[in-house]
Amino acid sequence: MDMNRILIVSLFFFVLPGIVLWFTRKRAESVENYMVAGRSVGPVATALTAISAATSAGLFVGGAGMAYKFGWGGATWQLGAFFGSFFTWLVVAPRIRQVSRNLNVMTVPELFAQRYGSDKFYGFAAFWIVVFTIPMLVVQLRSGALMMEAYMKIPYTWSLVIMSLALVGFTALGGSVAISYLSTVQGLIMIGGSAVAVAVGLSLVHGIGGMDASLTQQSPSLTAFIGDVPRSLWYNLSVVYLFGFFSSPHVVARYYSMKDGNTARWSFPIAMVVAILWTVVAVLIGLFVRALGYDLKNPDMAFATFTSEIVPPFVGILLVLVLLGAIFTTLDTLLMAGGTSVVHDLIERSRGKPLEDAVKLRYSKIVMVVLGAVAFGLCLVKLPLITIINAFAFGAFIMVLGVPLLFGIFWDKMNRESALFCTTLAPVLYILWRLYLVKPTGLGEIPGTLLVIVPICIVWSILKPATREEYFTRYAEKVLGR
Amino acid sequence: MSASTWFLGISVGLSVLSIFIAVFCGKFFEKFN
Repeated sequence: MDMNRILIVSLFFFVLPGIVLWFTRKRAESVENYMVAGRSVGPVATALTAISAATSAGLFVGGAGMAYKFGWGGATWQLGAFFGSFFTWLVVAPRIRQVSRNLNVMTVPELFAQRYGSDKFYGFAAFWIVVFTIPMLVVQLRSGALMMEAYMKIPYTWSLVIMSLALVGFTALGGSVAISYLSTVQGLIMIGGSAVAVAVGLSLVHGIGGMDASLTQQSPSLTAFIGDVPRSLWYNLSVVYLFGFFSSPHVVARYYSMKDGNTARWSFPIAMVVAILWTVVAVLIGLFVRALGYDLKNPDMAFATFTSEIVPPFVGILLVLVLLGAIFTTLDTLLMAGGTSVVHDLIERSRGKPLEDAVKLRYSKIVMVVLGAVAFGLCLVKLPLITIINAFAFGAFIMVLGVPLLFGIFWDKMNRESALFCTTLAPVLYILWRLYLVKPTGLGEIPGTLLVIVPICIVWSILKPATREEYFTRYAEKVLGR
Repeated sequence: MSASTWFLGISVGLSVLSIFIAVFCGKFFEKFN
């Protein structure tokens, strides 16, 4: 390992987080600051923290790979994510902030418990959060270590040790407030790095026109809107990402941290521009590699090929930082969401009385160290089950958290029973659909399950509206002021 | 229109629209205060 690499790794994983921890050390001493950044984060930090939390290495590696394989058809499904992001930042995120502040809640299970008037939600929702967060942590941590091994030539185990130490140390000590600052800095590095990479790539393929001409020459389907992407896959992916930005607990928690309505207003365009920029960059990288005539056995190698063989070394290093940034910003928010749920929703509720602030902070730090150690251990043993659970995580969060959250904050009639159905049976139905019903119905598991559970929630809530129940009156007093 | 025009057009269009909404529709966000 040469000095440059040691310098970059130290700077990115230790010096930068260390500086952030130093500046935020006083603010991390209160529970509200630690868990929801004191509900005082401004528009730039809110947008960058939430978008970088939602953006994992999967977007850059998988997004580039799909565009490489199918051409523009492998990119156009991402328009679903753009519209999902637009809808989320325009109305869902501001509403989540408003409701969470009025109810003074810090986690999604707590919001459900107050909206639907039942403590059962603490256990059910937190259970799913922990079950799916750990595999997500493992998969991200593993891909980060593999990337450091490939690009920085640091052995896998050492890469894992460096990433885990930096991640757990930083998140446990700094909490949400430090995460907001670090994600902002890492997000800015990611914006700069990805913009430079696209500029270099565009000059190599002679602009979008030159790239399209080269792609059409290889096969006209590469420049078609859907092209050779199987129709069911294209529609499935388009629908899935419509819901992605308000279903994952580590992303939703970022909306709790917003300072005020004005923050919601200005974080909307910033988040849109950044989310679209990173997606376009990922897609273009795949298309550049294809247009330049590289013949890859594995499409997911498109990003690596662009980084190590096509662009100058300096741009390659920038792109490695983009990937590491994407991984780290997802990892710290995931660990935070898992740790917060364990302490706030499970340990505190099981005791039946609130924990003192100092005790709660100490427990949170211990739980995060434990979760980090579990994730580290699972990275070493490489259980296939972890990869399988991770593949279910994104969709399961839509059923368990996304649907009851969206209905709960926008539709007064949504009742407790429907929400309980979503947090208990919907994930089971989703898994069964994935295993047995995708082929016979031709419908992907997420649109398929949504087509079942959404009508059930609507009909049930019309027949037995929450507005006639006592628990809704208490919620309405706090949130709606009536 | 080609797929690239659609994709990049919608990307730029949504970005610009979000900026316009934030600049000119401040009243809308006041509802969430």
